[in-house]
Amino acid sequence: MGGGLIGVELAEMLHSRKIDVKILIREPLFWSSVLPDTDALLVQNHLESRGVEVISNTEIKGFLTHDETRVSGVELSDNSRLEAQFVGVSIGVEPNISFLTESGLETNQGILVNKHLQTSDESIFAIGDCAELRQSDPKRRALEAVWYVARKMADALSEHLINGSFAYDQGHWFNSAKFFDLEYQTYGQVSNSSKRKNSEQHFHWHNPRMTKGLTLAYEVHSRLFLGVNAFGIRLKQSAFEHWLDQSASIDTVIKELETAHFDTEFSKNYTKELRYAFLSNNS
Amino acid sequence: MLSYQTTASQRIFTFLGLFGILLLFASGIGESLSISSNVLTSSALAIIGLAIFGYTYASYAPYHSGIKNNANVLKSLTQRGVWAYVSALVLTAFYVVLYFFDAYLEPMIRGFDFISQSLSGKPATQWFVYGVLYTLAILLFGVKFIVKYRHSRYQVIRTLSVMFFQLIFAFLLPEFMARLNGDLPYYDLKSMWPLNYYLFDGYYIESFVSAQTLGIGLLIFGVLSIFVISPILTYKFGKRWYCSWVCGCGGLAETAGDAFRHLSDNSIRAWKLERWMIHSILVLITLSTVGVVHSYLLEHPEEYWLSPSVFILSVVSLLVAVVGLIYFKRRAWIAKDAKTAMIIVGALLAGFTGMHFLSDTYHVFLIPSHSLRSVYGFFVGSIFSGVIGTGFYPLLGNRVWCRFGCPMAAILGIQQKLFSKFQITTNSGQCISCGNCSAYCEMGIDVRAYAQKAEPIKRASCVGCGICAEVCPRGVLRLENTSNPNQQA
Ligand code: SF4
Ligand code: SF4
Repeated sequence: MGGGLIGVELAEMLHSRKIDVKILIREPLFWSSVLPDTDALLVQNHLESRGVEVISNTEIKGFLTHDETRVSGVELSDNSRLEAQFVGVSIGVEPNISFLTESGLETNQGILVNKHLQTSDESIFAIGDCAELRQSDPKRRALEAVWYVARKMADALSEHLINGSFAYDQGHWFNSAKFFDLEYQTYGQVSNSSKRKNSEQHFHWHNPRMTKGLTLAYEVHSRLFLGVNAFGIRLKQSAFEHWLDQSASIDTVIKELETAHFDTEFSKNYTKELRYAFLSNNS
Repeated sequence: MLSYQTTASQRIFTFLGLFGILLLFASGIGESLSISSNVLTSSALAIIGLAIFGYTYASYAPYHSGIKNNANVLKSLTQRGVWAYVSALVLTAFYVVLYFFDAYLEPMIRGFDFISQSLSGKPATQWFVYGVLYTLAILLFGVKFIVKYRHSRYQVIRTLSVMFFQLIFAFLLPEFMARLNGDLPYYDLKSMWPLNYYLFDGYYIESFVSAQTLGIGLLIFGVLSIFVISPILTYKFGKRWYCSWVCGCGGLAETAGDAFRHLSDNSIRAWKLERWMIHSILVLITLSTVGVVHSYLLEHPEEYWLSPSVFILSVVSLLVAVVGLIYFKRRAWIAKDAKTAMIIVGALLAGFTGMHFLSDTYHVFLIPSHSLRSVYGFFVGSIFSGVIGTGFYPLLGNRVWCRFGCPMAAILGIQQKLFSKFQITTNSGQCISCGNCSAYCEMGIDVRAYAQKAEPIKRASCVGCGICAEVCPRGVLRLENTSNPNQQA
């Protein structure tokens, strides 16, 4: 149960052992709490093509047990029951910092840190999934429990400890994952459908078999490029960092998209097809 | 119990394959059962083919395309279990019999006469049988490899290329050439010195010369291959153009050896051993080749315009010129490897000088030159490349010979490291340190160590198989021929 990245990893591992898996999610589409519906549909389609059933709009009311020692299934919000030998729960992470309540360190949801990653006791540092920034980029969350963020913080902290001064810079958001055989990369900001404001326009493209897909987000009026979600297409991070640094327009990104091509040699280059689709959509 | 490891149909096809192999070895007894050995040989080969196709179908048809290495580390054959030892033993035994006790294979060899007759018009030898089996292994397992990696065009095209070169260049063409011109020695067009270390042997040169135009043409092609064609291609594409697109040893490793690539040791210790071994073998083969040519020239003073001293002098000056050029061009960062390079070159120069002063017609450094060559042929050409290189696939990984023994790989590696556009580019900070790339690198390169630091990978030993880029779950790695070859890792 739970439609995030950990849930899908768990499902994949069980599935590779020829164990039947069902994924129960609260949202209407897989990971639509993060992805726009077009992209969530693509991922869900992929999961289903791999033989994993995604049961949406469902919450769990309770666990069924077998002589009080083993789980035997779950009861769903519509009162139906599902039998199971194993129930995996992956409903997100939250720092477990209760052991720090007596310590005097200032905490909120996580341990509060400044831009040098120092806690309220400046000789103690906190990084990773438990660290919450006092001042964060308005477009970003103060607590980001993601591998890349943790590594970036570790880099910054080692720099700070060795060279004395180095501030942690959140930089441009990026993340990646793999849903079974479908690779996913994202750079910048692409809002999901429920949080998307009218000023944020999405251009979505996918191939007919829905094995490759891409969503570009930009501001309607200024045409400022905001971010990208890519599925089954490898994109060069440095190219997108460059466009985000430059506050490039969506038109520049489309024009230069080929420089971001990072798929293996000889594989089909989708950037031309994409550019064509975008231009015919926007003319 | 653990049914996800091997399915029933995979097992059935494995046993069918084993049966085919047994039948092949038993084809000699056909006569006594009054079954023609042609029929037995053909059916054995057909059964083996069927078994491999069936296994491939059973393994990959039920699944979508994509990397499928599930349960690789749980299977006995691919994780140094009992089956791995059994197959290593059987393969090694086959090589030992092939090289040293071929009389035992005689009945089986006769079963291949009809194939050999139809190609070259000659009866089969043990090498012909080996050639057929080797080529079949690359073709059949090549199909398996293509099915497994069908989602990747790089892998598909590369494997078709390896299959093509093995079938046409290594197997069919030499047979046809032998039919056209009986004097011509066996010449695998895609093989080049130092792989065909016998290229410059007296008897080999003589048989080329006696085969006239075609022979001399081939000899010139052989020299051009190593001095001109290969450096140009390596500059443009890296050593992969040879090691994983053309070479037969690489071809077998990639196709039949695919299931064993994760067994390659990627410790620093193995890396150090590798560097010492292949460079020593390179020194050895260079010395012995120059020695053989030197004594050949001494023996035939009248026939060639080249005198032994001029020959040694030109080899020395060529070497000095090349090393000088490299030093001049690359001194900024050569320091790291300078020691190794100096030792190699020093050993070679000392060797040549010694050769010149301590040699008479039959001796190089007071050692009979032909025994130096035959020691090399025995230990490197036979024991290493065959017995250990292939026999030990299930124990040491599929590129043991390519990593630790191949002098050609040593030369191409030096070229790749010093001047080549090829590199594996890392996609900035995307690596999640999962280690798949290092685990599946058949050359034992710790790819992750570079990817974590967002550095491009430029390693002498990388054969450009591209598997690291395939297994990476985050698309971090990309094999490229960059436009700025001087960019250093
Ligand atoms: S580094 Fe990658 S491409 Fe090079 S040999 Fe290893 S797996 Fe193959
Ligand atoms: S496979 Fe990819 S993500 Fe994993 S360690 Fe290698 S480069 Fe990093």
